[in-house]
Amino acid sequence: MIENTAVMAAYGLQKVYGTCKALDGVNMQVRRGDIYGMVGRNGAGKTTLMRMVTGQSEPTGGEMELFGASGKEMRLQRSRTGVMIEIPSFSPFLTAQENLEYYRLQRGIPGKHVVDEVLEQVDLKDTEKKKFKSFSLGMKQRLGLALALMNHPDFLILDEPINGLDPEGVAEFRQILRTLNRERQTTILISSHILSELSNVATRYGFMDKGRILEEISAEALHDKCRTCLRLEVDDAARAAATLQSQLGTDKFEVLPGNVVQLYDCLDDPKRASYALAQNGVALLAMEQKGADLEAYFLELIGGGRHA
Amino acid sequence: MLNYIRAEIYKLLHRPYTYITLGIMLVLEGLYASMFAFHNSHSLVTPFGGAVATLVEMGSIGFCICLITGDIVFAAQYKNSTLKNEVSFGLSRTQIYLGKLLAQTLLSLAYLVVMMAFFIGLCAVCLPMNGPAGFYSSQDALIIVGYFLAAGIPLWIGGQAAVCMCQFLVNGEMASSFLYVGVVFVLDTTLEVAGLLSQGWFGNVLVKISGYFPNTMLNNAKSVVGDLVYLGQAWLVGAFWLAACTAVGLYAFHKKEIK
Repeated sequence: MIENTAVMAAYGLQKVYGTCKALDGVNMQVRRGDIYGMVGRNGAGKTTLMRMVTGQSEPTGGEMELFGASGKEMRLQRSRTGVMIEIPSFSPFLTAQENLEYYRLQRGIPGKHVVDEVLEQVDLKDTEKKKFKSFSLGMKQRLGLALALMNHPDFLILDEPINGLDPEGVAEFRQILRTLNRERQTTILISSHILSELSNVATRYGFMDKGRILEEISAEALHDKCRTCLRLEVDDAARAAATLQSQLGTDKFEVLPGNVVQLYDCLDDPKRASYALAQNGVALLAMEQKGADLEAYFLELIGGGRHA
Repeated sequence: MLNYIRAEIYKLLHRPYTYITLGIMLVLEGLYASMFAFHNSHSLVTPFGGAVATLVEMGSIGFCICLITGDIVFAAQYKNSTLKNEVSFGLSRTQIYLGKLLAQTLLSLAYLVVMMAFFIGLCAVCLPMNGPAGFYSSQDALIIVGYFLAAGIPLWIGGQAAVCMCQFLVNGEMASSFLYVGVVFVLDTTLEVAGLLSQGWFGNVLVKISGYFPNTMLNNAKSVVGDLVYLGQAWLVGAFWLAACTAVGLYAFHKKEIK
C-alpha cells in the first residue's frame, strides 16, 4: 500500500508494443508537494508513463494509483489533474479564448471569468481573434499550460512543457510552477530535456532509461552527490580520516567502501591534503577532483555516451 | 453528459464549417426549386405538390448529410490530437462517444428541419399550389413526405451511428468516410448481388439481409406510403443499426490508444 502522501504511484508498470518494452516494470512514487523531474533520453519511456497516468494508454502489466485510487476508480481522480503531454492540441479553427471556453463547458468548470484569468496567467490575453492554427509553438505551449491550469489541479503532469518558449517565457513558466507549488501545494510531474531548467524547479528526480526507473532521489540528496570533492583512493581509509581531522582540522569528508575518501575541503589546494597524508604514512594511490551537474550525473547513471 | 453536449454545441456555433455547409445546402435547394419555377415559365406547370413530392427521391442525400455533420462534430479529432484533452481530464470514453453521437444527431436533425422548411417554404412561394392533373395535390405531397420522413428519421439516425462508428474505428476522415460509404451504400448491393448469384437458402438469406440496410429500407419506403407495418420495421431497423454500430464503435474506442 502506498503512503498516504503519495499523489501518484506505479508498481511494476509495464507497457509492451509488439516486441518492444516501452515500460519494463516501473516503480515510482510522486509525493504530495513534489516537483518531480523525470529525466531520461528519447525513448526512455517518460511520455509512455505519463500517457498511462492520464488514461490515454492502458498498461500491459503492473499497477498504478492516483490519489490513492487504482483501476477504474483512477478515472474519476483525473479531474484533479492538469495535463500537457507532447504538443498541445486544440481545434485549429477556434481562438485561444474559444478553445478554453469549449473545454470549460465540457468539464463543467463554473465561471466564465476562469478563461480570462488563466489566459492572463500565461500571457495570452491579447491574442483576441487569432486562430489556434496561426499560433507559434511558444503560444501553443502557453495555451496548453492554460488548459492544464484551468481547473486548479492538485496534480500537474507536464511533458516537455518549455519546448518552444522564449527565455522570457521559460522564466515566467518557472515562476508559475513555483508559485503553484508554494501557494496551492500543487504537485507537479514534469519531464524536460533541458536539464538545467529542470534543476531550477525540481525537488525530486526520477532517472529513467530503457523503460525503467534507475533511481529516485531528492534534490538535496542529488546536490550532495553532485558536490565537488577530492576523491582520494588510499591504502588505509581509517588512518586517512584521522589524518585529515588532526592535520587539516576538517571533518568535511566521507569514507566510502574500497578505501575511498571523498574530501569536500582543500579543493583549491589539493597538495596540502596529499602532503598531510604522506607525512602520516598513508599511501595515496589516486586522487582526482570530482563533481557533477544534473546532466553529468544522469549520463554517469546510464553509463555515459548520450545526451538526455 | 449535458456539459459535453453544451460544449459541442458551443464549438458547432463557432465553426464556420457549420454555416458554410448549411449555406451550400440551402443554395442547392434554392437552385432546385428555381429549376421548377424556370420550367413552369416555359412549358408544363409543376405545382407545389409535384415539386415537394420529389423529396422522396433524395433519401440517400440524408445519409450523405449524416457523413458531413459527423465530420463537422468530430472535427478531425484524430488529426488534431484533441481527444487526449478529453480523456486525460477523466471523461469516460463512453461519455465522449455518446456525446459525439448525440451532437452529430442533433446537428443532422437541425439541418433536416431547416432544409425541409426552406425547401417547402420556397416551393410554396415560387410554385402554384394547384397544377394540372397527374401531379400530387399539395395535401397528398405533404402526406407522402411526412411518411417518408417518419420512416427516414430512424434510418438516418442509424446511418449517423454508422458514421460515428467509422470515425472511431479508423483514424483519418478520408478512411472513415470510405468505410461509411462502403457500409451504407455498397454493402447492401453487394450482398444482394451475392445472394442472387448464390443458390439455395444461403442466397435467400443474403438477399433478405440486404433489405435491412438503412438506404435500401428508405428507398423502398416511397413505394409503401401509409404502410404502418413498414414504418414499424423502419424504426426497428434504425434502432438495430443505432445499437449495433454504437456497440462496435464503443468497443473500438475503449481499446484505442489515444495519440
